[in-house]
Amino acid sequence: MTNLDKGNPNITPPSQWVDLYGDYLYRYAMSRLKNPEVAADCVQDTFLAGIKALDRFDGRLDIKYWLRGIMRNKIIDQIRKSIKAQTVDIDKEDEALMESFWFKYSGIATTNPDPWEFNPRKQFDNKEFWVVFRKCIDQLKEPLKQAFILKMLEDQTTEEICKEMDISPNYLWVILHRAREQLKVLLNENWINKD
Amino acid sequence: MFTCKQVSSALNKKNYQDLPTWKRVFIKMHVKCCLFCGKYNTQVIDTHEMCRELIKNEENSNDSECCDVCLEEDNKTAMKEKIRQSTESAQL
Repeated sequence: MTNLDKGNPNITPPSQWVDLYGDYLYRYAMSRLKNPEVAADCVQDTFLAGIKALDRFDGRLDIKYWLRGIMRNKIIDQIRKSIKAQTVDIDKEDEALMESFWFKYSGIATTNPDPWEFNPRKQFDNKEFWVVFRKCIDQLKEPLKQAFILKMLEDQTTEEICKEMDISPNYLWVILHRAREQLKVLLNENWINKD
Repeated sequence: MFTCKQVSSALNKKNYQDLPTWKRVFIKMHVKCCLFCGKYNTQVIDTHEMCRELIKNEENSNDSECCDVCLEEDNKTAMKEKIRQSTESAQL
């Protein structure tokens, strides 16, 4: 007998999932994907995968978060697909960075990066900061944004990302360096000028 | 003690918070004193910590506060129908 047949009272019936969790999952998908159609497809695929996997649901998590866990894998698949559809070109500036003394000697781009114009650590308890932070991630250029999300938010390994993007680990380092720099500029602008 | 290259490489491979405690202590000590990589790698750690906090914030928040978008009604109706079909076939 499956979880579905048992009518387990701890499990919200799938017929109620759309009304209870649809908007929540959609917002989560939008925070990573930014494409309404793709995000909606992701939510639908999550529900269907959830029904198939319901036997394995052990009730330790709220089903909402269990579904979100399934959806994270769907999001990673979507980002991978979109990465595969584009070629990542190395420009001269990036090549120069990889060949630079500082990179070869110490794995850094510069000894004197531009400073933060505010202390981000002091904003960790401020909900408004995370809204601005998410918006800044959205504004990163492709493929910096995709690489940044996969590596920093979805915890994918360097090897996996390099394979998907068909780039070397050194070039992924350059991409992540550029993403961090862009993010710093955006945060400095958007957080300080938020009012 | 780590070299700059080892510190950068460790921070590039894994998020700072996922490294073992002993490694984090040595890395923190290195970046605090190092004239070469200190400023740069401190900012790398800052970004790692911000991303970690963002994830925590998303996991703890009752709703994703990224935006106030909602699924369109047409999408919801289509999803409900697919779920109904899928549930029926799962029960057969």
